[in-house]
Formats: sequence, structure tokens, C-alpha cells
Amino acid sequence: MNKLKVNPMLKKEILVSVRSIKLTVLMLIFNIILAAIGLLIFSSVLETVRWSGRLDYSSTVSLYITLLVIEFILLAFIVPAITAGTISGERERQTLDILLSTSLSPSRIISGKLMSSIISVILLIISSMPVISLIFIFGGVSGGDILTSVLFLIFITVYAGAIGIACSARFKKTTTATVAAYGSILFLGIGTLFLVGILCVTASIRYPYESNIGLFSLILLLNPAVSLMNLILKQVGSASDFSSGLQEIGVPGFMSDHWLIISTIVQILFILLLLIWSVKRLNPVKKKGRGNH
Amino acid sequence: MLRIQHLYKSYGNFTALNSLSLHVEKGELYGFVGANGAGKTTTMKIAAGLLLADHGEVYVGGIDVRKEPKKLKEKIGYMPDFFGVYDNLKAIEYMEFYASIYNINGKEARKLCLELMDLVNLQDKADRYVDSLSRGMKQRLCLARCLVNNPELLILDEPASGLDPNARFDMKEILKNLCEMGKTIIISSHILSELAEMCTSIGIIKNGEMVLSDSVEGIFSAITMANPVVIQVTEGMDQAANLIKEHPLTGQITIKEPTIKFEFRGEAQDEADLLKMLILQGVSVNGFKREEGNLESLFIELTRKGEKI
Repeated sequence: MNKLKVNPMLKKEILVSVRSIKLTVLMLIFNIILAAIGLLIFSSVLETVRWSGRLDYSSTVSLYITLLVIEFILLAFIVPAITAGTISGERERQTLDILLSTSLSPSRIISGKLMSSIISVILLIISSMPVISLIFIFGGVSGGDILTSVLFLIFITVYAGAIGIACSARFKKTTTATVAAYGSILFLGIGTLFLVGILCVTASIRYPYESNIGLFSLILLLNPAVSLMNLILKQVGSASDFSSGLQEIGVPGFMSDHWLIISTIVQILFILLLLIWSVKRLNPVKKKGRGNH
Repeated sequence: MLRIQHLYKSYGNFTALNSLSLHVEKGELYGFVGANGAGKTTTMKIAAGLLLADHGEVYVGGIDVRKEPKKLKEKIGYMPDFFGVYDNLKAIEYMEFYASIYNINGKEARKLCLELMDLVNLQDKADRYVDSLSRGMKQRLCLARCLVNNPELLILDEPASGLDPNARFDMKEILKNLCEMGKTIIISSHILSELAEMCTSIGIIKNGEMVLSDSVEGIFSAITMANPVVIQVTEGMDQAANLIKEHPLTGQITIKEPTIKFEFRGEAQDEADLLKMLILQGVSVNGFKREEGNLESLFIELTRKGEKI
């Protein structure tokens, strides 16, 4: 029987990262922030119960939403920090040329780096499960909902990771790559919303009560925050509000009804494009390189 | 083993390689010499498939570097002039990581890596973290790493740079051993005397052009011929100077009594004839010899030619 072939880069990265204290410290900070916020909301729910004598289930849902959003924001900060130094770090350490002179293809380097970053972040997500489980004390959210959300957070990790790696492949210095990765993620998460907002306001100035910006609204397909919002609203039974909101700004009806699936497909395609571009960027014989002479 | 033909490479307006051609036969230890910025690293990077040439052909063991990069990488081991190591990785793990790239895993990888570490005298450092090793040890470890895929050609860019004399000696001995094992090695260095001691052939590059490429014997013969002849005259200084000036094989001449130093393009027999002629014309000569030269003097002469000093 053939042995399972593990990407050597992935194996090495995992070995190096588990020996480093960075991941442990990151996990600690991540969970402290998440637990602090979770416990704060939890105690406020308990306080309300104490005063009113009854449990408002909408507040447990808000605990769930808040925890997911906080986790999303934390991941948006952590993933670029982990991935933006993957390739540029090899370049700065002057180990990239050695790697590229071996049989290790650029695609295996990229996939190994991405997978090891994803594994680290999955560890973070799994480690946050006890905090997320606070929701089960009150009920109202199913295990399936949480699993779907966790899977979506992992998908967002891959998305942010692909952006981080593309920036790392593009820029020589890790600092520049990190800034570019944060900039790109901020643009996708907040910038696109801001852009759509401005276009809607502009449209409503020209035609009062009209905020249809047509196909420009489709830029939101790239926004993972909007997709997460759609997922959460679906889980809490407010998907129709979300869909009508999208239709108001000009998203075609079919797309607004299936926003989550369509946006996920678009984002997967974007991830693939980023990864292919990163591989090409790394391949020394497919681009005009610069080097010492 | 390595055939480079009319290689061109430029970075913007700067021409790094200008029709560079180079041939390294199987089993040779080829020394690649040139000043900083002459084009050594660019040539080596192109040969290792790390850089694309603008024009020209590079073949390693008959493989076109541009067309078959995958096959190329199975045949070569490349060591850059500057390189780093990974933190939190032991020397043996560093080796095993590179072995796993070539699908050598488990016990087989451990055995091979220990053998290679033994070859570079690092067998007792297997469990040391790589970043705790000295520079010389790191260089040797990197050399051992180059050998995990049993390459036919080793491309070593300044492997002895920054090493102390003992570490340089060790490196030289290891390279000689590898050459005896049948490996073809191309090595760049600034320490010309060491290259002269261990290399079988040497190429000198200047401004991206190969100005001299020959066997070590051929180069030393050229060095001797390029050196000036120095004679000491006890009587008939003016006559000797005139005779030498008029000789068709004589070049630049410097007179500093009682010595005359002059470029002479003739062979040993021509030197003997010149000496005979001087004596027959009544010049009293008590010293006649070609100045001894070395690789450094040839290198300086070749690389400074045409430059304003």
C-alpha cells in the first residue's frame, strides 16, 4: 500500500510552529478576548433574568451573533499576521532560493504554507469551542448551526489566508506584505460596504427614495462579512429581510435569494485566482526575476 | 555536464551577462572567478533554474534548463552565497525536510542524512538546533543538504565566504572528496589561491563576459607568459635597452638601473635567443628571468584591462 504523501513544507511548518511559543500565546490572547466578551454578555443576560424573572431568548441569539462576529474580527486580524510573512519570510531569511532550487514546486510551497496557516487557525477556532458553548446553557441555537458557522469561519480563514499569501508572494518585505494584506482585507470587509453605501447615497440624491446602484452592488459578492451576515440571518430566521435589502440596492432577485451559495462560489474562485497568481509569482522561470549579480 | 552558450541577462539598463559561454565537463571542479557584480551569481542562478536569461542556452547534463526545470532540479544541488536557516529545527530535521522533498522519508531518510552529515563532519551535531551552529557548520550543513538528491552537478556560490581559515580548509577538503566521488562542481570564490589549489579548471568573468576559461595548467602557463621579463645588467645598459626596445616581441619597457623590466610575448626559446643576442652584442647580463606570477596577478590584470585605475 502506498504511504500517504504529506507535503514536506506542511510537515516542516507544523513542526516549527508547534515548537514556537507564538501559537500558544496567540491562542491564549484569542480566547481571553473571546471569553471576556462572551462572559460579559452572558452575565448581562443573567442579570436581566434576575431582574425580570424570565429569559429573553433573543438575547441568547445576540450572544451567539456577537461571539461569531468577534471571532470573525479576531480572525481577520490574526490570519494576515500569520500568512503575510510566509513567502516574504522565506525571502528575508534567504531560504526561498534554496527551496526553489529543489524539486519542491511553487504550488507545493504555497499549498503547504496555506495549509499550515489554516491548521493553526483551525486550532484557534477549536480552542474557542468552550466559549462558544456558552450558548448551549440557554439553548435556541442548534449544534448544526454552530458547525455550519465554524465551517464558514474556516472558509473565511482560507480566504484571508489566500490574500495574505498573495501579498507575501508579491512583496519582498514582510512588513509591506502585512500592511497590504490588512489593507486588502479591510477593503473587502469594510471598503466594499462603504463604496456601496456611497453609491447608494449618490443614487438617492439624483432620484429620491431610490438606492438602486445596479450591478455595482455585486461587488459585495467578494465581501466575506456580508456572506457571514447572510448565514447568521438565515440561522435566526431573518433571511428575507437580508434578501429584500440586497434587492433594494440592485442585486437581481435570484442572486439575493441564493446570496450565500453564489457569494461562496465567487469567493472560492477568487481564492483560486489568488493562489494561482501566487504560484506564478513564485515560479522563477515564468517571470522576469530580479537577483544579485 | 554544464554547457552555457551566449547567455545574456540585463536588469534594466545594466547588462549583467553579455554573451557568456561556459563549458564544464563531467567530474570537473570548475572555479568561477570575477569581481563583485561581474555576473557570477546571475550565471549560477540561471544554471540553477532560479532566474530566466534574456537570451542564450543553458544545458545541464543535456537538459535544457528553461524547458525542463523539473528534471534540472533532480540533477543539481545549489548553495547560494548567503542563506538562512529555520529556527526551531534540528540539524537532522533540516536534512530530513530536504530529503522528504525528494520522497526520501522515514528510516531511509535518517540513514542517508546521517551519512551525509558524516561526510561533512557534522555527525555529532545531528541533534543540535540549526540556528545554534557556527557559520562554518551551517555552510557544511547546507553542502550536505545539497547532496540529499545525489546530484550530478553542484552549483556552489561562494561556499567558503566568511569562514575562518580552519573552516575554509575543511570545506576545501570536502569539495575535493566530492570531486573524487565523481561529482561535477562549479564554485565561485574570491579566494583565488584556494581555487587554484583545488580546481581542475577556472573561468574568469568580467562585466558579464568570460575573459578566460581554461584548465588550471593552461591558466598557469598563460600567467607565466603574461608576466614581464626582468634582466639585470652590469655593463651596457643603454645598448641593452635599445636592443630590447627593437625586439619585435617586446612590449612595454621599464628601466630602473641596473634592472630592465619588459613585457615579452615570446616562448622559452625566444627568451633564450634574446639572452644570447644581448651577450653577443657585449651586454653584461647577470640576471635574466620571468617574474613569477599567480592567479591573483592574472585576475587583476584581466579584470582591470581597459579600466581607469
